[in-house]
Amino acid sequence: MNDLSWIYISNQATEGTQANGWRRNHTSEELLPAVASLRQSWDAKAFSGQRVGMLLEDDMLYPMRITLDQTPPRKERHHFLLWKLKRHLPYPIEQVTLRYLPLQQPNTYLTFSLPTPWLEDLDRMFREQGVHCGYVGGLFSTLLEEGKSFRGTTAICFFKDFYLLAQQNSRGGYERFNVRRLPFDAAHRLDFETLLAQDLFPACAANGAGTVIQLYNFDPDFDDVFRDISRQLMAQFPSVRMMAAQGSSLKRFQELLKKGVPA
Amino acid sequence: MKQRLNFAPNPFLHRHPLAMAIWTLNLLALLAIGWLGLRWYQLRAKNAEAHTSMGQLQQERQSLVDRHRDILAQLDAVNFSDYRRQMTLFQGIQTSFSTQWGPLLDTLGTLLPEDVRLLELKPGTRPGGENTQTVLLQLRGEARTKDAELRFMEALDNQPEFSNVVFESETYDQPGVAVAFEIQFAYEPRGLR
Repeated sequence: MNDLSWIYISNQATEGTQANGWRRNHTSEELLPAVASLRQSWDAKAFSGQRVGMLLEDDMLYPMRITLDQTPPRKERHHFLLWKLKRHLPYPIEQVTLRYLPLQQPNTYLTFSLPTPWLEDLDRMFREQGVHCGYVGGLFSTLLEEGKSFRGTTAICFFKDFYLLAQQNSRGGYERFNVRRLPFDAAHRLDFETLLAQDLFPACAANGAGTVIQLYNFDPDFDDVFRDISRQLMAQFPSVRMMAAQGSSLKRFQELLKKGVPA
Repeated sequence: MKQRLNFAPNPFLHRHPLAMAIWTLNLLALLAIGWLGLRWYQLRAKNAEAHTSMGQLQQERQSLVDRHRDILAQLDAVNFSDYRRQMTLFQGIQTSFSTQWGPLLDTLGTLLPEDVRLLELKPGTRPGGENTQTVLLQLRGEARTKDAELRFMEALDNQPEFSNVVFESETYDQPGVAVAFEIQFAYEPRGLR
């Protein structure tokens, strides 16, 4: 996986690791940019190589915490979850590709979903260029799945306008997985006090004693704020660790993936 | 790479050593199953052939059993005492047919005195264990005198073709006129004595 070429799509830009890296900005009102517009904006470098992994901002996968009313048979669990997701997703459930993980609570699942037509268009686009896109997943959720160092810890990961909080038990099962929007004021400035007082302090306080809390940041523009937040949290909670990384979101991902994510 | 959160329609195939080992084992298992299937098919065909042969053998056996039963039924129906009587009669007829009556009567004719006449000559009962060429004969005749009768018997006894001349009976119906007599003797064609 370390030698794979990666393309990362956020809601503002696309970046790739092929040929020493490339980046293209895009604007889309939709949560997922249309494949046709991506194709037009992408560099030819995007289609160099034979294999590529596609990473999306985790928010694009619509992470949801779904609790079922009853324990369905294993084969029918997928349909039960889709039924529950019906009123939350912006596209028809007949066109949803669903992935899910069980959470600690009974009958509770963490779901990720993407529209199937979009995935098929993406696959077709790469195939037409002779490239096999064999992986499509979220940036941070991929790291969580691949890195064993997350086991028994809580990880908080910041993106441009949201953050993820994931707590894993010692066997890699998810005890918590939350997506929170960052609080911005009317001038689109981060409400630092609100974030700390209402979100992060309670979250860290709810964390079990002795459980390491790892802080990650994947947005280079957010580094200064991230350092301040980390300093504040580390002063209050000795189990908090700030995981410094540099470069673009994708470089940070690659670096963490290569290092195996230090605990 | 874990595939739990992979959305790719055509995910990468990972050549994990364990997966490769399992794949190889599966392939070997598939080949083994194929070989076993072929072997099973051959054995099944062989078994069917053997069953066909067994069926034919059973039919033959049943046929033989039926035939044996029919033969036993036929044997049960045979009356051996009647059979023996028939065989005796048959032997008598055969003896009658095989006896050389011409030479025998010619010889008897030369031995008969003038006062003796031959009334009847018939085959007698053949004693067991004797030469099959020997014919036992029973003779009935009449003589004018007792002396003529005795001469005839003596002449018979002296003839090489005749032997075991036994006097059976003698009847005097009209005293002084004729003597009816019966004798039994064995006859062998000339040269066999």
